[in-house]
Amino acid sequence: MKLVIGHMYPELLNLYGDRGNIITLKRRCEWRGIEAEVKAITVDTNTNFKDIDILFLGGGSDREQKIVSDDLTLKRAKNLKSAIEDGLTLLSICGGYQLLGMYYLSSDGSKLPGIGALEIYTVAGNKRMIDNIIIESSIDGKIFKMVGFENHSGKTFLQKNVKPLGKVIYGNGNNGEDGMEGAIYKNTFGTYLHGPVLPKNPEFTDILIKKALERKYGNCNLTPLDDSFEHLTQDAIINRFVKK
Amino acid sequence: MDLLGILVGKFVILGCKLTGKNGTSLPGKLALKVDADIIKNIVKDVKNEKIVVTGTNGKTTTSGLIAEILKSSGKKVVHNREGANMLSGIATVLIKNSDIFGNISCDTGVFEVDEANMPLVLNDINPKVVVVTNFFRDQLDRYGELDTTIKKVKESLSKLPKDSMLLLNADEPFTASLGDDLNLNVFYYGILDKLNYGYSLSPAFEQKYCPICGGKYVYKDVFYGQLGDYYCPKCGKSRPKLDFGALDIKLTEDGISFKLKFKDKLISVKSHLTGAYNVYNVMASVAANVLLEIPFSNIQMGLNNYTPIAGRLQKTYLKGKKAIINLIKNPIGFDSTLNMLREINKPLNLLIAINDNYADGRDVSWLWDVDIENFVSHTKINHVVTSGLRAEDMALRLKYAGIDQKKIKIMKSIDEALEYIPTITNEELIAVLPNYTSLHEVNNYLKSRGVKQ
Ligand SMILES: [Zn+2]
Repeated sequence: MKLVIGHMYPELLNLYGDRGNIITLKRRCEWRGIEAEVKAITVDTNTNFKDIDILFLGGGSDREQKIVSDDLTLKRAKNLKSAIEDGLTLLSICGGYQLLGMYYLSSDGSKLPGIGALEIYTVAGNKRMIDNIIIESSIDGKIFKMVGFENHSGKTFLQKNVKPLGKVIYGNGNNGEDGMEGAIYKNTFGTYLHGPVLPKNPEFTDILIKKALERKYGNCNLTPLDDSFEHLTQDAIINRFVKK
Repeated sequence: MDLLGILVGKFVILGCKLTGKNGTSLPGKLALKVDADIIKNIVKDVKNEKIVVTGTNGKTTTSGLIAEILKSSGKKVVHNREGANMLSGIATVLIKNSDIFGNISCDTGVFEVDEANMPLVLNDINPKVVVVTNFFRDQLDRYGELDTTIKKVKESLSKLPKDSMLLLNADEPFTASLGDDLNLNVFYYGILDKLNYGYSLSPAFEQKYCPICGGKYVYKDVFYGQLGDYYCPKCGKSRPKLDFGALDIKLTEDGISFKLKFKDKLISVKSHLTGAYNVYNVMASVAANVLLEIPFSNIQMGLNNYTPIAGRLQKTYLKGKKAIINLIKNPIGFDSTLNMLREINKPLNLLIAINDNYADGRDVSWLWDVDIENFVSHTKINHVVTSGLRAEDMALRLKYAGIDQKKIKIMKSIDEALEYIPTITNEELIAVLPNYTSLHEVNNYLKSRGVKQ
């Protein structure tokens, strides 16, 4: 078995250790004997996403985010939207997550369009939400906690059709108001969790791998791995910030 | 002037001494609460030049070298040597060097200033020379993003008197662009040699885009991190013309040497500091002193006299086993430390200590921006102990970098980790790599064990 991991704009969206997500997807495939190939998708790459099994879209600083936003909304919106509708497994983080939505309303009142794949919108906030974050997720009948570090000022709100990735136990989440964090639509996931999110949340990583494998090969079961370090890392944060 | 601030500061310094605390920030912090202008009020009595050094990496070494050179030329220098580079740390060192009436006994000042604190303190210090070393990604969660920091630094520079001198690292595009349209005497320093040790671009490499047209920078040479000789093929912007250029660079185990080209002169420079990145620090300190018209014999004497502060490539022994300690505080610093260890080419036992206190940056995601994979595949690593508040995060990072989980031990207490690592060491070199506040714990441990620093 083989999965192709598409890494969007690796040289532009390279903030907050998010390349760790790619390393993690690759390793957890390899440890199970699943071949994993990472393909960089840059501004000059043509793709219709048909040859990608897991797509990763991170966040960047303002300047880089602008270049990405132009490339996505002007060149790729149609292809990416139909791939998402078709069940592509996609993980988007922070700025990437916002770009999948309908729009970003900036503080000067202007509306920057997203690609509109997710029925979510983001409003510029006046305070930066920077903190450790702990959430509880329930995906495909599995209930588990996730930990990460959030760093955003945009406040994202979900509309119909889109479920949250989890409930906030500690931290701010999507907007610091409704107690929700992240978004799920079909096999597309959005989140504000850096950290990076995948190494220390192996349950979530394996859901992404499993979804991609099933879309490609039909039903499958993942070989369990020794996740003791992963859980120690997670527990360290949970024990520190959540009062028992 | 308001003497209450000084008194408060003096009182807290005494309190720190009595309780055995280091007290490099707290006295200034409390004094600033009483007298917000205390820095300005003391610094105005420093009669000769004030020099400010800022940037992400290298500011402690560069400012230390500058201060040492000025001392060697007979000046009485006030300098925040211990690296407390926020407002509070600068206020503290000024109070320490003043009498209770706020009269300072020094005639020259060298201040290492944290990038984000530049706008708050630059005009109070009113320096003759400002040195900017580089801008890398560092502690982003504290400052928001790099762009904002750079914009604010530029704003504060533009308010300096017109005869101030600005010394910029031309090889780092962000830093060099500070000099664009700035009405000061701007000088650039950089490397004229080829200095590429075959390291690929680090994953922490950033800023490849022209600030004028957004075009992609092309590098003719990469020296270290994102430092190199670059140009924009779209609009033609390129590395500025160098006023100070290093050539004939030689790096050995004993140190570095190079020739510094300035106008029509070639100055031979030698330092016992090692590592390619120190070429920039030494070059900047020499250039700053050339601008201040310090005679060259004094400059070389100062370089010879300089001793790095604890935790920067510090050699020591742990229970009789050879150890090297080096601070790692951001991806580029971590990367260059790993390159240095790779060059040593000996089996290693590593102790990596990562805290996430405020001064460290609370987000440790950056550990994943370091090319540990490359290091692991080229180096014989026998044991690793991870320690500090984020010991587990570091252990997990190493596991995914390809180190066998069985070789990794997690010990949250840094003291216990330092006790433990020599007991599993035979012929290996111990490398202790702490981040900022972890280094304080390492130093305290060494001090309490009477290890000479
Ligand atoms: Zn250009």
